[in-house]
Amino acid sequence: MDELKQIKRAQRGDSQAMAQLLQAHYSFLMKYLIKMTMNPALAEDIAQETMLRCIEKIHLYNGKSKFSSWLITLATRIYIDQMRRTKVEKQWKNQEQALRRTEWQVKARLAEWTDAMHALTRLGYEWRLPILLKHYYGYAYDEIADMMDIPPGTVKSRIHHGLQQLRKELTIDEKE
Amino acid sequence: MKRNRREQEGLCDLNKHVHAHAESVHEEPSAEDQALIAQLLHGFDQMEQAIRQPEPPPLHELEQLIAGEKRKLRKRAGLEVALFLVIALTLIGGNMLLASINIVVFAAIQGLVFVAMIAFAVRFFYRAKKKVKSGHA
Repeated sequence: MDELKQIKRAQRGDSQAMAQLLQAHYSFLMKYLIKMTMNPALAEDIAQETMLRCIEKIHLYNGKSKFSSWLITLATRIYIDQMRRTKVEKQWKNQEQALRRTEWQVKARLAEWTDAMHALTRLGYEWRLPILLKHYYGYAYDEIADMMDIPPGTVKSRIHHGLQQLRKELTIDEKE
Repeated sequence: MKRNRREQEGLCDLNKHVHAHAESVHEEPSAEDQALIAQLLHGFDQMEQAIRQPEPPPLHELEQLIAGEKRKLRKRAGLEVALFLVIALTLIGGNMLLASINIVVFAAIQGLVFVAMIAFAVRFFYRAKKKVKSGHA
C-alpha cells in the first residue's frame, strides 16, 4: 500500500518519493542484473541506465504488474538493446573477463561454481535470459514474452533449446 | 526480495510444473531437465550468497540524479517542440508559397506525397503481418 502511494507521488513528480522507490528496489535490481549479465560492472551500468529510464517512464507504469517486475522489464530491454549494439567480438572478450572475475568471487566465498552455471555462462543471452526469468524468478511465458518483447512461443522454444544446449555443453565437458 | 515472485507468490517453477496439470505435455520438463534446472537454481543461490549485498546509493544522491534527469528531459522536450514547430512552419509556409505561385505543381506534389504515404503504410502493414506469422520479434 505504501509502495502504491509512493508510486502515485512519484508519477505526480515528487522526486523524494521517486528516490525512495529507487533506493528500496536497488538491491533487488542489482542482484537480478548480476545474475542476468554475470558481470558486476555491466550490471552496475545497466542499473544506472534502468534508474534513468524509470524516472523517464514512471508515468507509464499502470500497476498491472509489480513495480519490481516493471523494473526488471526495463532492465531486461536495456540489456538486450546494449547486447545488440555491442559487437559480438567485443562482447565475448568483455564477458570472458567478467566471468572469470565472477567465478573467482563465488569460489573465494567457498561456494561451488557448478558445471551447469559454467555452461550457462557460455550460452547466448537470448537463451540465458528466459531460463533465468522462468526457472529462477518463476515468471510465466507471457510475462517473459512481454519483458523481452518477443512472442510467447519464441520464449518457450528458447527455454527448450537453451536447456538442450546446456545439456550438450555439460556432456562435452564431461567427455573432456 | 530474494527470488522475488517465486517466494512471494509461491511460483516455484519446478513445483509449478509438478502441480500445473493444465499445461501441455510439451511444456513439462523431462527428468533430465529437472535435474539441470535444480543445478542451475543451486548455482544461482550460491551466486546470490557469494556476491556481496549491493549497497543502494544514498537518498540525496538519488534525488540529485532525479533532478538532473528531469532537467535533461525538460530540455529535450523543449527542443523537440521547437524542432516540430520549425519543420511544421517550414512545410506549411513552403506549401502556401507553392500554391500561390503554381497551383498545378502544388496539386501534383500533394498527390505524389499522398500516394507515397499509402504505399508506405501498406508495406509497413504487410511486413508487420509477415513478422507475426514467422514468430520473430
